[in-house]
Amino acid sequence: MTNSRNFYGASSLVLAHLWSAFALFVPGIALGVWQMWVRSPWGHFATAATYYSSVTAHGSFFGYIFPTLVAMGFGYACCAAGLARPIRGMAWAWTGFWMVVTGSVLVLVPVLFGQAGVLYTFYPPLTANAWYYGGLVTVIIGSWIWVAVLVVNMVGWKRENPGKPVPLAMFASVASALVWLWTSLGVLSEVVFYLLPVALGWRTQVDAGLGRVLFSWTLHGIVYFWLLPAYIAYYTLAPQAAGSRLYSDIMGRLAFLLFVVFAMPIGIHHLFADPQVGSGTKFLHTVFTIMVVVPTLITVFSITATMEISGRLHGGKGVFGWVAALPWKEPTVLATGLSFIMLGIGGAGGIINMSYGMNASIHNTQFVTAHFHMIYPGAVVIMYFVIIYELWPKLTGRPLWSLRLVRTQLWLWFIGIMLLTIPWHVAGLLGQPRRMAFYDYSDPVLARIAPWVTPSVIGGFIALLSATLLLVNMALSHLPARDENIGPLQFALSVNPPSRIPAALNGFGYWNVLMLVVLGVNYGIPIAQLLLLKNAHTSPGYQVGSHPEADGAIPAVNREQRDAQP
Amino acid sequence: MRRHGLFSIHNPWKFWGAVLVASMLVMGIAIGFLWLPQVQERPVFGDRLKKPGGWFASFCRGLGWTGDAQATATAAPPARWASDMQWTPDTVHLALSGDRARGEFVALNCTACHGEKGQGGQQTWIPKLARMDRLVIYKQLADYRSGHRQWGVMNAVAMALSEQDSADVAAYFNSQAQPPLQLGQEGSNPPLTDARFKDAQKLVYNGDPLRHVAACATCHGPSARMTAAPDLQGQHPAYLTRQLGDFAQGHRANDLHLQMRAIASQLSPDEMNALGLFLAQGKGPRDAR
Repeated sequence: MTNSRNFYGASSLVLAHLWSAFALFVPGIALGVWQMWVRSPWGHFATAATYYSSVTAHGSFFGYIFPTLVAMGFGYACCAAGLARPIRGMAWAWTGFWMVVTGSVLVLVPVLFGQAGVLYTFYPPLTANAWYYGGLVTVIIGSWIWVAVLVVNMVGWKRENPGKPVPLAMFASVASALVWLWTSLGVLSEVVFYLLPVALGWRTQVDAGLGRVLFSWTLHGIVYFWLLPAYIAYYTLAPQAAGSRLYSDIMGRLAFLLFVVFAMPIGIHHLFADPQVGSGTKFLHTVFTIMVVVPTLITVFSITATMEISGRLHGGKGVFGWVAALPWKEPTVLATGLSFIMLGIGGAGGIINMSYGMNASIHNTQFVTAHFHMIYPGAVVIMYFVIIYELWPKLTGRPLWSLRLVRTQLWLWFIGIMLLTIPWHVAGLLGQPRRMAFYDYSDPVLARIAPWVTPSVIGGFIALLSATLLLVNMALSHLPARDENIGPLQFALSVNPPSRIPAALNGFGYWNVLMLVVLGVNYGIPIAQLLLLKNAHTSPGYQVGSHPEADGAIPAVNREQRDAQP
Repeated sequence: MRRHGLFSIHNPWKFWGAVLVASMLVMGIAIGFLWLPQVQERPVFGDRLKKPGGWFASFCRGLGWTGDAQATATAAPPARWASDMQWTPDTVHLALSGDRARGEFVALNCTACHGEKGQGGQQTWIPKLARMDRLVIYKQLADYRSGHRQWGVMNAVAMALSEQDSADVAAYFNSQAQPPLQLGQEGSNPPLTDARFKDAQKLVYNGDPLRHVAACATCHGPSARMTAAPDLQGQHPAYLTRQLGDFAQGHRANDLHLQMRAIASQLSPDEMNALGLFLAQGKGPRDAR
């Protein structure tokens, strides 16, 4: 069923990761749409406990499981096709895969049983069933095997090809793996040292403030871990789909190195409203957070320049004439264009979120939720679709079932996500708080928000339709007859292919050290502060699912009585 | 390609990378921890808003290491367990070996609140002790002594008593005559209607399995009896209702296996009230209508 020639024997491995990632894609999105629906003016038929279980399932799947499997699968594809040789350590790679799959089941089952409605961001002192945390640890350890396999392959290749630049696809995949390795340490230490002991009953108290600081360590790095496969697709898949060459290979490397250094030691900007963190620490993180705008701007510039080359080669004239001349029928070009629109809007929102002053007006509002749904499902996941559509023919040896269906699916996704998130931003600006299961729109203060929530629900349903179509496309594309003309996966060449590049831009050792120095300062300060102020913020753990009345599993009596009114 | 050491200043990428990061760190720290905290407390509306302390205090505030952080500091409560009491044969033997005559002397401490000969005082939230099981009195005194049951006066009294004193006073109260039943409904609001009476009766004899409420009679007699579970009939209604409420909210938590907390948390305030009245009338375990 797979075409082992194209990936040097790794086709099954890549296909297993990508199919596992997308197996629960439609149900996962259905949960999200359902949540949007029940908190809209139309529906309040959920108990709070059900709602939070749903949010936890949605968030845990799309935060930890889905992107990890996509990054792993795409990373192996980049490793095999980029280095043009078999992956070393295939047995380890399969072990990591099965650990992630097993861990994912362990994560999701307690959620479905209502024992882990803590949201994927945990919120101590809320405590979930211990299996939920255990499953998460299994997922993370499994994904570390992937990190190790990629690093070993890159180091081995460099040793055997001294002085040659590591192909950008492989270099960027290793950057993504390193971001994940370092960033997952935060959540892992929170789970192992603070949450699991409470969940297992070994300890009653949890230091919520320190737990949140540790989670913030992960919280921004993980966002870039979600993003990086999309960036790799921008740099390595989009250019030749447009019939062009990458504007600059070196700028691409620099962008990924900047992500390694700056993606993670900046997470305190998620805690601007947390009283336990000092204002100096918050300022320091603001300074470093603005730096992650730089690699994104480099990327936007490089890819736009790449596209301009293509547009002019296709006969486009004038300042913007090249845009119209681009081969928009090519799904990858279309998706990249749509992705950039969403990245632009979402990125501007992100700069608002990270500004110490402006953050106060949107903190804990639906603006934040809208922001990351614009960036992640919007700008990023549409590039995951590109990865699927680019890789599928190479993996299966069969052409895609229908390019028209592919374009329809991409357009539906774009329309759905835009309709979902733009009004959602406005609802947040109007002050709608996030993490609420129910809004009483009959309240005059909330009534003005209601018209903004309704289009979001419609957008959600359109995105759900598009997600279903994606799965249809994936499945149908296993059916056509094999086409022997489908060659191996080719990554974009740059305008000036690098024959020699500075050693500093061909490896990660130095940049890891630089990042760890920044991490040591930026997280050493708040962690030391909270450890020294021991017990200042501890509170008893609250086991979700064990207090049905308080969790809202039993509907409030007054709601029943009100609904009983004629 | 020239190879350089990890931190070689001859490699421009590494050199300028380090300069960029170091200058951001230095500037960020200088502004965030030294300058901003000073500026932020510069008086805007006159000197009254100026915070105490010099640059060091504002530096600490930048770190988040402030005096006000202590306001939220709460000591971890000690691990909780229901009671120190373990019903070993030795303990039971000691609790049952009290000297009634000496107990009468110890009981002089009790009369003011629990009434003469434990027949009950004016305050109806204080229990009658006469005829009460010896193990019950012994255990409650032990729990008051160790702090597992909280009631200011009783904690003080129990701490003045030895284990032998407890056994003696238990023997004394156990030997007293059954206090009169409380047949009236004085102070009961709402009144114990027939419907509420039947509800309470059902809870006492059948419980409510769907709510995981065991029947009172399962442990408090007469058909079955659990060690150190008191008789309930004839007790002050206000006392019974209050204990149920305290168990429900966890204010009282000296039931060894959470039985009373689990049961009481399933009862409505109205049911607690009805149960108190029902049992006080003596229509409890001893006398099925």
